[in-house]
Amino acid sequence: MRWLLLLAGGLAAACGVVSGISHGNVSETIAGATSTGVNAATLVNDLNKCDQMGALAITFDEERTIGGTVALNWVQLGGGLLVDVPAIPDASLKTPAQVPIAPTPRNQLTVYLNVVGKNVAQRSSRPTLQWTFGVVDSPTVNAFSAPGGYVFVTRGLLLKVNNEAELAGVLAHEVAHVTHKDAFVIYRQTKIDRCKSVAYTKAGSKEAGTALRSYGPGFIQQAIRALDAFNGVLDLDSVANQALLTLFSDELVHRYFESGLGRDQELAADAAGLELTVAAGYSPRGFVGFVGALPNDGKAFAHHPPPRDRVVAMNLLLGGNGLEPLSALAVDTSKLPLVPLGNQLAAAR
Amino acid sequence: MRRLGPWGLLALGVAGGALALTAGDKVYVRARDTQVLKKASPTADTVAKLQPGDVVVWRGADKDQPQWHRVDVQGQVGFVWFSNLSAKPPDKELLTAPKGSRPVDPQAFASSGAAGKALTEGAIRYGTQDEKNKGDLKPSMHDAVRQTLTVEAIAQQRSVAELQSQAARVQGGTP
Repeated sequence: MRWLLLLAGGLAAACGVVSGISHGNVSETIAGATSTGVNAATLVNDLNKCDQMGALAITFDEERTIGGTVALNWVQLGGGLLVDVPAIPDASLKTPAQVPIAPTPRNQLTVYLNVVGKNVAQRSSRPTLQWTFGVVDSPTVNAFSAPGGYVFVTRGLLLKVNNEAELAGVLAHEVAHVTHKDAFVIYRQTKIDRCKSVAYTKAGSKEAGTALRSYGPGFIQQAIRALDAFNGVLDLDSVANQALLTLFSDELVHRYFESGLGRDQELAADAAGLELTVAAGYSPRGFVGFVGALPNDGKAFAHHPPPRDRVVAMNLLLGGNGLEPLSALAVDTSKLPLVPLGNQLAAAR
Repeated sequence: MRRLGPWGLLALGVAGGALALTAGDKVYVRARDTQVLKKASPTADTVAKLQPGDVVVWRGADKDQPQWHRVDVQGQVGFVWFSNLSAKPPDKELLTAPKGSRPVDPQAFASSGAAGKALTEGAIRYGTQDEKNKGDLKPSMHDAVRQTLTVEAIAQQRSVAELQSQAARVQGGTP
């Protein structure tokens, strides 16, 4: 997802955050804590709270809230969604079933993407999630997901796919990241680190204060109050925890940009995505062909393993030997269609 | 003893051949409103309509129409399109409870209200707060909220019939 970094330009400044925060010498901080009125026992207690916060099971409600904030960042940094927003107040947009959707080309494109995507996602291990698929207005070739069921593709990707099987494969790969809850690995550590930054800042640590320098004093005090009030249950949707939600989300997005997901997670998403694509009735040749046609220069789908490695892994899964891809399944999967793309894609051009 | 071929193995979520289904095994329904039909044909009468997580007994792929799999369900025999079945149950979702969380199956989740959530209030506050709308980025974060809510509306307004129609389009004539 490095392309988003380039697109964003000012993101780092906007977030003003760094990962791998150093808090300096703990004993010095504790000594300093005494001078700021926060005793060592309070700091230790706060740090324990942070560990406890990180160890909590992540509920769907938390996943959806954090996923929503990540999705908003993807939308903004991707240049906005290809959709025509009705001229109604914000409050009226919050009732999805009643939002009037005009049959414009851009909305029809989004309808098409959701029909294709939801048909794939309902074959997944999380079939009743509220899956949402959107197109961001970027010329780069990429796709990305956010926890809770958000999947986005770029306009550039839609221009590159040759058939619906390729598109379905891309969507299925992203659906797999959500069903595997791949972002949780980064998110758990982000929660702990950010919470501890608040604890150290409360104790007077200059290093931690520097890490949170882009946030105003009132905001930091709000985060400290949320840490003080934490009693073993974390509701990030509550007003009282708004500062924590912002801290966690900003840093999670930053870390996503920096390193992406792991190689094993990407290959696992390819494997699960292939299953989903076939389950939805598409030939697996579509997705394998799409990945195989990506350049190996690391520009498209940065942070993913090289396309050639992904193709080899998928062909192994399908029983092929690399020289005769898909040969082991040729009898059956050759009957599965690639399916032409819908005309609605014209809106992306 | 009848076993599932490689295509069926992949589609049923056991790619790699680590597992193989045997007639009499339990399998799980994946998709909403999955129809069990009297014959291996999309135009056959409906025997039952099932929901994600429902369990059926797998009897094997039809000899002439291998995409259709014979199942026992609710004391009746019928046929289900292969992609609506899975060897693995759907995941449970964790809902917030007074003392932390509680796992619920997909059907309970779907009717809980949590499943139909759009952007949460917390996420909307995140995107509309002044701090997030100060820079020059286009769209603004507030506009990103409005765009995302609109796309969520489009997503949620898709009907089961639309998805079944899409499945039929892809698969060539299934209901």
